[in-house]
Order: sequence, then C-alpha cells, then structure tokens
Amino acid sequence: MAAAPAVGTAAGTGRSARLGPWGAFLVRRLVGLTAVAVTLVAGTFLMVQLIPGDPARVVAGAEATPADVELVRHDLGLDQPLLVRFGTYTSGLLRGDMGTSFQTQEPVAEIIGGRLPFTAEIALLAVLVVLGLAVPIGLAAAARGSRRTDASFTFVTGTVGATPEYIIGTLLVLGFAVELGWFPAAGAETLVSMVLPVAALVLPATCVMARIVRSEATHVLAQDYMRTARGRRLPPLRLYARHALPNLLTATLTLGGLILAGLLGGTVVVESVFAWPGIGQRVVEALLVRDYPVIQGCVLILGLLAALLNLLVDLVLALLDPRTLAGKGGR
Amino acid sequence: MPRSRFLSGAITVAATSLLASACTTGPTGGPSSSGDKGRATVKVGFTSDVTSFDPAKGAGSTDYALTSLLYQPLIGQDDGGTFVAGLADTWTSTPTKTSLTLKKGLTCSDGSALTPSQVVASLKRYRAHSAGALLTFGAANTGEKTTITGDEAAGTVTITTATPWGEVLAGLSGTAAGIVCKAGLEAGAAALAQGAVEGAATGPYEMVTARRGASYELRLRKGFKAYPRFASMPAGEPADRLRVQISKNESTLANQLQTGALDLAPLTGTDATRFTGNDTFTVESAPFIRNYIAFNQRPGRPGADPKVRKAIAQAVSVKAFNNVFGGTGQPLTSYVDEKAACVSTDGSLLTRTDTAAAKQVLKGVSIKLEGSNAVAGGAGNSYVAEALRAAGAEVKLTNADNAAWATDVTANQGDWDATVFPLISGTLARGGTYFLGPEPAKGGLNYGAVKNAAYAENYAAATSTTDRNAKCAAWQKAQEALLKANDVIPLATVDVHYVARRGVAFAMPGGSLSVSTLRVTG
Repeated sequence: MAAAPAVGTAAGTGRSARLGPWGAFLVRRLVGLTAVAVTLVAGTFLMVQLIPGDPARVVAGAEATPADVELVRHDLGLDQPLLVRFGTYTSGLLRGDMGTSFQTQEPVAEIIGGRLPFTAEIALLAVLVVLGLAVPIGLAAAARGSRRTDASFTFVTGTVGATPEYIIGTLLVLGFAVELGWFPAAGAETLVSMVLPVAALVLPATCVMARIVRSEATHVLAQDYMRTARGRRLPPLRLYARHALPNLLTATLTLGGLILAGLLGGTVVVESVFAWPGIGQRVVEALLVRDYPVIQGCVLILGLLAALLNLLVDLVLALLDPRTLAGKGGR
Repeated sequence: MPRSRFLSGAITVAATSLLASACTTGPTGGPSSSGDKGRATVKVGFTSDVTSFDPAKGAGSTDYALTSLLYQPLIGQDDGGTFVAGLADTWTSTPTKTSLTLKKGLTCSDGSALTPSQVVASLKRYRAHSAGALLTFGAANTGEKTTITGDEAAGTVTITTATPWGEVLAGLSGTAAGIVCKAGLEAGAAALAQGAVEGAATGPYEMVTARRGASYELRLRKGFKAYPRFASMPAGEPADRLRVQISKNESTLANQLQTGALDLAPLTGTDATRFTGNDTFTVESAPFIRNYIAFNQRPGRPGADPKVRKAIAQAVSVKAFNNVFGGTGQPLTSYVDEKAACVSTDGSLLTRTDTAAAKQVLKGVSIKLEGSNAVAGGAGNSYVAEALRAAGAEVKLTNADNAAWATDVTANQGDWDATVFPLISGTLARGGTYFLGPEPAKGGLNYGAVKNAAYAENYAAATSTTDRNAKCAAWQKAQEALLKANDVIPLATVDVHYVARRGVAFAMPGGSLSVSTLRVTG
C-alpha cells in the first residue's frame, strides 16, 4: 500500500520533467483555475437557491393569484427538481448559454456583455492607478524612514485604508460634485464621469498596498547589497528602481493580487453610489428580485475574473522570480 | 539629500498619476438643458429599472412611468376617482356594459391608424395576460364571460360582463390597460417586454434608445393629441425628449438633482429634505406606501382572537409610527389614503391607543411579526415590535427583504402572526382584495385568512355598482366592518417626494405622478 503514492509521485515528477518548469507551472495553474470555475458554478447555483424568497412570486407581481404564480414558476422552470435545473444550467453553460433573466427576459450573456465593459473600465484604471501610486509612495515612505514620516504615513494609510469605498465615494461626491461641481455626481455619460468612481476604488486600495510596499521596502533597504549600492553613490532613481524595486515586487505583487481582486468586489458598492452601469450594480438589482440566472452569471464572471487576475499575478511573479515556478514542494 | 529628492520624485509620480486619470476625461457635465420652453430634453431619474416594457406585465413604479408614456389607456383617473378622456373621448358605463368612443384621428407610433379592432385586440390581450385584469372585469367574469367588441364605423369599443361589475372604468384607466398597437401585439410578449417595438406605441412618446439598467431616451410623437386632461394640468409644453436615468441609490439621485444632471426624481427618504425651501426646486409629496397591520387569523394564531387584535391596535401609536419616517406621512383612517375615492375618514371607527388596556391582554402573548425592510430598512416594523414589547408581548421580529416577505406573508409560506403591510395600490377595490375570498393555498389572495362576512358582502356591493353614491355607501360599510373587527389597523403613509427643478412641472392625479403630464414651463 505504501508503494502507491511513491509511484504516483515518481510518475508526477516524470511528467513535470517532460513538461518543463513552465509547462508544469501552467498545467498546475490551469487545473486550479478549472477547479475554481467548477466550484463557482456549483457554489453560485446552490447559493441562490438558499436565498429566502420565491422568484416566481416576484416576477408574477403583488396582485398575481397563486395560479398565476404557478404558471410563472412553470415558465421559469422552477417547478423542476434541483438536480434537473442544475443539469440544465451546466449544459447551457457548456454551450455558452448562461440563461435568460427572470425579470427582463434578456439573455444573461447579453446583460453581462453590456455591463462588463463599464466595470472593466473602472476596475482596470483603478488597478493601474493603485500600482502607479502605491509602489512609489510605499517606497518613498520606507526610504525616508523618519519617525514623523512613519507616523503620518501610518495614520493616513491606516485611516483611509480602513474606510469603506462607499463612505469615500459619498465624501468625494459631496466635495467634488455637489460642492465644487468639478465632476458629475453620477452616471457614465462622459469620460470625466470615471474620475470619482475610480478615486473611490483607488484611495483605500492604494493605502493598503502602500503599507505592504513600505513594509517590504524597509526590509529590502536594510540588506547588504543596498548598503553597498548606496556606498557606490548611485543616483537615487537608479538605486531604488534597479536595486530595490525588483526585490520587493514578489511579496508586493502576491498580496497586491489579492487586493486588486478585491477591487472587483468594491465595484459592486461603488457602482451603486455613482450609478455606474456596470456588472456590480446589476448583481445588486438581481439579488433584490431573486433573478437567479443573472446572479449566477454575474457572480461567475466576477469570480472568474478574480481568478484570472490572480493567475496573471502568478505569471508575472514567475517571470520575475523563476523560483516560484516550482510551486509548493517543487524543486 | 538623496532621500528627500526621492520623496519629491515619488510625490511627482503620484500627482502625475492622479492627473493622468483626470486627463483621460472630457469636459465636466453641465446642468440639464431644460431651459428652452417646450422644446427641451427633460432628465428624469428613478431608483429602479424597468422590469418589463409590456404594459400588462408592469410591476414597479418605473415600469408604470415608462409604459404610461408609450401606451396610452383609453381613459385616465383624476382626484376623487373621476374619469377623464384618454384615447377615448366619451364613455358610458353600467354594471354590465361599458361603451367607449375613441377620439378621431388616433394613430400608432408608425403613423398607421389606431382602429377599434386594434383596441379590442389589445384589451383582450390585457384580459389574458395581466394579473390586474381580474379586478377590471371581475372574478366572476373571467375568459369569455367578458366580451369585448369594436365598431369600426362608429369608432366605439364595448365591454359586456356576464355578471354586474362596477370597476371596469377604473381598471381601464390603469397603466396596465395601456393600448398596444397591432405591431406590438404581433411582435409577441417577449419582444414587447424587452423594449420598444416599432409602431407599437399609442402614447405621447416613443423609445429612441434603451440601455437597460442605465438610461432610456424617449422622443415626443409629433401630432399626438390624446393627452389625458386632468383637472390640474400644468402650463407649458411637453418636452421634446425625455431622458430617463436609473440610479439605484436615492442619495445619488439627490446629488444629480443638485448638480443639474436631473430635472425630476422621486425620493422617499431623508434626501428630500435637501430641497425643501430651495427656490430652485419644487417638491410635491404623495403617498407611496400605505402601512397597516394585518393578521394571520388562522386557528391557533394570536391574530385569530379579536381581543388580541384590539389590544395590538391599542398598543401602537399612529403618530409614533409616522415619526419613525420623519413625521412626513399621512395618518391613515383606512387601508388606503384620503386621496382614494370613497375612503372612510371616520376616526371613530379606529381603535384608540391605550397601552394600559393593551397590557392586560398582550402580557406574555408570543407574536411573530414579519415585515418588509424595503422602506427605511424596516424601521416601521421595528417600532411596532417595540410598541408590542412595551405592552408585554413577546415579539419575534423578522425584517425580511421584499421578496422573502412576499413569499412568507402574502403567499403564506412562512411562520408569521402579524405583519406591517406596505400597500402600494391606492384604491379600495384593489387593496381590499387581500381581506376576502380564498387563501393563497386555495388560489386566492386572502393571505391572513380573514373571515369578515359584512366586509365581503359590502365589498361585493361596492364593486358591482357604477352608481357613485351607492358605491361609496357600500364602501363605507365595508371599511366599518373591517376596522371595527380590527382586521386592519391603519398606520400611516410613507410618502414619495417628487423633486423637480424650476421650469419643469407635472400633475399628480389621484395622488400619484403622471409622467405624461410633465411640462416644460420656462
């Protein structure tokens, strides 16, 4: 009995050797991604069934008789056993059919197709701005290293980082839209409409990430090779960009990946505050009226996007630091 | 030195990044262009999206608002229940026969003539597909027991019911009975539900663009003349274009009003106070929800005991309930508000607050109170729960969202004893269907299993006559029966505040916004 795992490990090691480190890495990640997708499909399907409230009654309306409600239930396929519905849902997914909205009768894929670009727009811009701000700010705070800078940095990033996006969003609207009139309070009619939603997403995430960067940078700047580099009187830009930055990116990107995936969750709230017509606002709407296919579709897509974002971070890490290719327990 | 230079560099990078995100943008949005009298775009905001553009399937305030612009009913209903012309110019109604004469020269949005036969087809579709049609034609007149015919030469439509029913005109005035042209009828329910079908509209506007969940743009139909003429029509001209924006958050709508991105929006919460006393805006309030306490009166439930119902009525204070919502609502004297036709305003029919008397009955009584949290997070439910606790009852409060509450209470699939019912409909006939007939399990709407013979008898009398005096007399007796038995404990309305920028006016016939009356005044 004890020999079996050994054979398996040997076989696995052999396969890894044939695939090479990059091949094995990609296979591992793709298997993980598939597992995430399967879990998301099953999880979201079961999750929506657990929400109290009858979607057929919501669709039929307040004045509908029980007979009307049963008719709607039949039309929506909700009178089928759970397993049959799950089978219908998954077979549809395999054909690229995410179902039809209970409420609006629109195909879910069309709903997501219409909404996702708006969410992607602010989420991606937010990611770029977070990276563009958090790394230099964190590095600068670590480089300065004075007690007063540390105290100010910790206070500001701690306060803003712990403030929920909806509070920041509301304050931004009050200040920059209602009082100053610099930006629209809501909507997505012009490009300038993006500024406040992106800022609401960016501010807390930047603060959290800057703290991570600072912590890592403090560690890196204390290393012997940095002392040596400083001793050679290298220009500051070269010193930090070429010697410090690459060494703090591994941990920063690993944790940053999680924070950035969290930005997708943040869009749900921010879209509601700014009437931004993205996927997050649609999920909230669907939850309130128990629009199962829309909830399932949107959560699945948001989940997959988060998983893909993490995969992207892993790929970047692997490129920067090939040791990570081996993975857990790898050689 | 290198450290401080680096810090400066970092700050520059940070500032540049912020500017970069700002520089990817266009000019700042200005105030809405509602200045040109009669020829402007008016921007209207709502907190919920349209669930269906099919008038027969409308289920929410935004559905009603938009479909009323696209599909005009034959008649309208004004304050006090009086009827005004819509697509129909004149009408006569008896308990078994209603005849309406259409206005001359009516057209569909593709320019084709709107004929009586198309109106008949549209009404037949309404009868078959709308839940509200049951009350329009009567429960005893379903299917072929109601005949709908048209006379092309005379331009009339006639509705005949097998048994007397006096609510046909009221039903026809509802948004759900909006007339759909042939193109819409032929396109089918799915197409109609999803958006504008070319040539389907009979109302003052037609859809230009639709971005579901975000915005809709409607264009005024040239030559449309079938506007309902309510008694309090505002001056000015209809807007050339209406831009409807959906913002899920009321504070967002209020911000957009303040910054000029919207001209009109309904607000139910405290954001409305921002506009009170502000000369740039007018605020018109109307009941949005009529709250009352209702009971599960099935055997074994506390609400089955008339003494417990009376004690609960004694335990709560309408004034205190109203204060929960800022005191801006109207105390109710029946299950609908005073704008409804034939509503009882007799305060002597109500059980007075008497906490001491309530305590004698409610001490130790276990009550499962379930309410919807759709308004103010269920603050009204919390007040009722606390009032009952103060009277000695052991209260288990469930503040459910609307879907869960509807399933538990109105479908009676939950474990509940009492509820704070948020009635949206403002008419006695429609709101009163919940207190008579079969229970949900037997195909009815009587979720509390109320058995009040005097109410049922007078409800039948009120709804089967078209004589206004006889109708109101019967309604008074029906309400008296319900209130004296404490089957219903009226509380107060939660109002919706329609905030409009100066230069935009509208009418609220019967206490609710009619978007088709929106006018640009200057």
